[in-house]
Amino acid sequence: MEKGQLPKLYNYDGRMYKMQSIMGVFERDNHSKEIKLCAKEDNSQARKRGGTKKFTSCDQRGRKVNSTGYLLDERGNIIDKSGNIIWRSHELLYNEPPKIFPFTEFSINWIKGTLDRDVTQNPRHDDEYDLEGQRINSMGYLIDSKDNIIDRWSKSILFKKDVLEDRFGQEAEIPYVFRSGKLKRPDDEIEKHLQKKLDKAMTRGRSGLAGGQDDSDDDDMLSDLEKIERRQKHKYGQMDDGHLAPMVDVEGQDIDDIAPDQEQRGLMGDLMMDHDEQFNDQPE
Amino acid sequence: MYFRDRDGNAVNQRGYLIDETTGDLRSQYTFDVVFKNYNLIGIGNSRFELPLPYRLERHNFNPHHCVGNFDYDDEDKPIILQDGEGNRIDKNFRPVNASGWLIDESENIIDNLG
Repeated sequence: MEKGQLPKLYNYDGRMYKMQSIMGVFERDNHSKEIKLCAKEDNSQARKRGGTKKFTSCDQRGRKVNSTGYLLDERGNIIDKSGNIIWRSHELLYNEPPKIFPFTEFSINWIKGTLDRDVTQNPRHDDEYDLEGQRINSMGYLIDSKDNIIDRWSKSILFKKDVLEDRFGQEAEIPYVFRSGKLKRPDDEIEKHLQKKLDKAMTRGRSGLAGGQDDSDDDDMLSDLEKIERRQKHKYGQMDDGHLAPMVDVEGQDIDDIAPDQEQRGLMGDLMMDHDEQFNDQPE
Repeated sequence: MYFRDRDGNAVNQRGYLIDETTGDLRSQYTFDVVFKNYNLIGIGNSRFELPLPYRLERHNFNPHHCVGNFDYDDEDKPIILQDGEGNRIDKNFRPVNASGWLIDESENIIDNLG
C-alpha cells in the first residue's frame, strides 16, 4: 500500500479496487463540507418514454452518480472510471457498497448452523433445521423466514437473499470473497469457543450419537455411556465361555465389586424381606 | 473486567469505550449508550464484541466525508494547496495528505468531524 493511500478493497467477486476509482469529483459546501451534486437531463430510453423531462444526479464531469457520490452506469451499478462494474445495484445498502478490506474479519461459523454432519453431502438437500431447531438453507447456513442469511447470536441479516448464489436449487451460497480465504479469520476466544461447539456436534454425528446440541446434562450422560461402551468393548469384551464380561462403571471398576452404600443396602434388605414373605408364606 | 485507555476512559478487552457500571458500549462524544451489554457478543456473561452485522460493517464509511475540498485537474487528481510552511491543505485550510485525504497531526486519515 502506498503511503497516505487507503488500502485497496474487495468487491463480492474478490476483485480488488481502489476507492478513488469509484468516486465522482464534486464541489463541496463550505460549511457542511458535504458534496454538492450536479444535475443533468436524463436521456435514457426509459425516461424518454415517460414524455416529461427528467434529471439525474451527476458529478462535476457530468458522470452519473448516486446520492452518496459513487459513479453509476445506466442500470444503477457502481462502476469505476473505466466503466467496469464493481458493485451491482442489488448489492448496495442505502446506496453505499460494503467496505471489505483484507483486514476485515469474517468467520463462516458466525452463520453456520449447529450440525452433526455436512448437509451439503445430503443428496436430497432437504435439510431444513439444525440441531438447535433453527432454519438452515441447503449450505447449512442459518436463515430467516425470507431465506436471508442471519447470524447465530442476534439473528440479524448478514447476507440478503438477493446477493446469494444458487446452490442445490436454492439461493444459498454467500458471495465468493467471504469463502475465498482472502479475509482475516478472527482468532479470539469467541471463535475458539464456537469452533469447539461446532466440532463437538460434528464429532457426535460421526460417532453415530443422536443430537449434537450443547446440553450439558445430555453431554455428560452420553459421554459416560461412551466411556462404558468403550471399556466393555476393548478391555473386557466377550469372555472365553462366550458370555459378555461383567458391566463396569465409568472408572472401569466391575459393578459387582462396588460395595453398596447404606441406602442401597436398606433397599436390598427390603427387597429380600418382600421376597421371603412372598415365597415362604405360600400355601403348600 | 475493564481497562483504561490513554485518556483514562474505561474500555473493555477489545478497546471499546464502556460504562464501567453496566458494561454498555458508549459514544466517545456524548456518553450515550450505543450498544447495551446484553446485545454484545461474548462467552457466557462476559460480553465484549460488537453484535453483527456491525462487527462486519465496522469499517464502512462514505469516502467523500474523508476527502478535502479541492479543484480537480483533467485526470481527476485533486489540486492540493500549501500553507506558508509548506504543509498540504485543502481549500478550507484543513491538513490533507498527498492523495487529498483529510489527516490529523499523526497523519491518520480522518473524516469531516475529525
